[in-house]
Amino acid sequence: MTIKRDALKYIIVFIITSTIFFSVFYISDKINKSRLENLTSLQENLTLSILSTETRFALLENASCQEIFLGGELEVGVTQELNNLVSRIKFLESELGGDNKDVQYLKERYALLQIKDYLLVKQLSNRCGYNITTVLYFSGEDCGACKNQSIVLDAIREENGNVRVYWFDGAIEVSTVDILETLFDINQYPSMVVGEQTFTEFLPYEELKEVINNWSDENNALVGKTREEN
Amino acid sequence: MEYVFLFITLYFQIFFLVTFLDNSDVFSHSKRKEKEEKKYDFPVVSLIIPCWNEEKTVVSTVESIQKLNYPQDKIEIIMVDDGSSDSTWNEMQKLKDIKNVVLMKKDNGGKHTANNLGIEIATGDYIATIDADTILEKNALNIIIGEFLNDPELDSVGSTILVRDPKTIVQYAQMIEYQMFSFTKTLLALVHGALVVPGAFSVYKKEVFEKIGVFKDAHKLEDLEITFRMQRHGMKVGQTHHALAYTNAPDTFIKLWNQRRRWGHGFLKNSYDYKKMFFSKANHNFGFFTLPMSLFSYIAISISFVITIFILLKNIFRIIIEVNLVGWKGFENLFARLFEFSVGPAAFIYLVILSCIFFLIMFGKHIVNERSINPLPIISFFVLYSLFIPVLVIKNIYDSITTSNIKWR
Repeated sequence: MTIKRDALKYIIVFIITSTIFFSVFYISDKINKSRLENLTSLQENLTLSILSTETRFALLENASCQEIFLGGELEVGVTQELNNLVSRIKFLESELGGDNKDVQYLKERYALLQIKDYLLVKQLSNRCGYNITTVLYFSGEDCGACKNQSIVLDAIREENGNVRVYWFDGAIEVSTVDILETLFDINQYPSMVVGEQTFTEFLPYEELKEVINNWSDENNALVGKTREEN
Repeated sequence: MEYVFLFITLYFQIFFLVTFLDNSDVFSHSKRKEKEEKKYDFPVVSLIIPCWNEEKTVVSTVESIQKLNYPQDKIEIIMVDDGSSDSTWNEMQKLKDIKNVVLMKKDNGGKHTANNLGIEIATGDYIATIDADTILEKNALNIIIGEFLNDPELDSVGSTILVRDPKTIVQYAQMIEYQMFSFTKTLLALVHGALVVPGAFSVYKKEVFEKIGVFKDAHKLEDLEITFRMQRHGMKVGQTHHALAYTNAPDTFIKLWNQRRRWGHGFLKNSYDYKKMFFSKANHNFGFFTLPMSLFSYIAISISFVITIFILLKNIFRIIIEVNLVGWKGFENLFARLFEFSVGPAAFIYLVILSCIFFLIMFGKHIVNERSINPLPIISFFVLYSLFIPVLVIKNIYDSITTSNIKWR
């Protein structure tokens, strides 16, 4: 009698435990899904804001650069959204795995958005003397030095607001990224394009900083001229 | 792997919870009052007090016995000095004029030998063992004997042990632990799964010792061993949270460490000696729940500790790499990065388990009538035990494997 009752209790406890256990899994799965949904809408927003920046840029083409600098606020907004997006993609990648289709799709979209932003920034700086140093950073899978390079780049980006880092995952197959790689002659990871100079090896913190400063000085001279012309 | 551990841990907590809901009537406060006041035709009880170097506390223990709400002419106090090297024997002489006190002295042979000598000369139908540093609440004995008289099937009844006069942080932490155990022990006993009849104060029917023999050395944990033996013989081991006894808890970290090393070692060794009881049908809840749970907690604690340390080291390693690469960036976020753990479903389940433990503590406080809301004991419990227990457990497992010819599988 008691044995039967005990067995029943063991089963009941098992059922309750399983229920709690799997509810937690279900809930956390739901939360991840809703994050993914947020991400999709964020991505749409991002496309929209890039478009509007472009439009705005086109509208401002004939306006003075002073006005564009005021309009630079919009541009900064896009960059911030790009940063938000990359941290979310990284999170999703760790949660859902790099092979997840949604993650892959997002990474591809992200790569394209970055290229757009990159081109915009270049145009702006060329026309108006907007001194921003762009760093195209190509990383690959199973590459130990890439992790270190990411840490170095993160630190530099945090320190210097005029440095813009674009992060491309070599494993992603997007033809535009391939074109970039061909253009800058990149065939190994980690590789970086600082300004217009290509580096195909790991650059330590101090060295990279110097490269960026040199480029920035050079650019400043160039930019100065443009500014005078304006 | 991690999830298997979490599942099992959660299972144990839910088992406690379900057991509680199944028997919630046992825990009402009115029950205590009823039990305290109920009058019976009380039988003779022999109280055995083994003393080994207890000069400071032995007299107060006897004084607390004299204050019991139990007819003094039905109490026989047998004090056995187990070859103390201090003045315990002299202290005991102060009590020699009390008419129901028997004083004995023998060469040192361990607590179990002192208990056994007491059992030999005891005249009562019930035998109580009391530690010489324990004082009894005035209703403790009549409540326990009442349990026997209400349920003649009971072969032994354990009391609820609480910390006497806590003063240090280490004692406060133990106070919470003991209160929590007062609840879980009662729950275990309700399903015939009591793990241990506490040596500090418990009562046995005299016939228990006639049937299954007296105390053994049992790796210095004679109370645990005799509980295992009683369970194996299908005896009924009870426990009541209404009968309270207060014992001196180790006041320093080192003393606590030594006490728990002895307990842990004794637990592992005795579990090994009685390994056949694991999942044995004859001892259903004891074999299916108590033993596996106790052993599992042991292993789970050490594994979760190792994992935590591993993650911590990994984070430290990563921070070192970062500092190497980009230089020292100050203390900002250092703490957060040090304790950066991935937040997944596991974290939620940890939270559920933690809430269960918290519930056990709060209810433990409730049933022993502890109303203090001072958060210090609870904080010290969580801080001290989360650091102390894992290290101890790992040490104990290591010792149990290495310090004997017995091979622990």
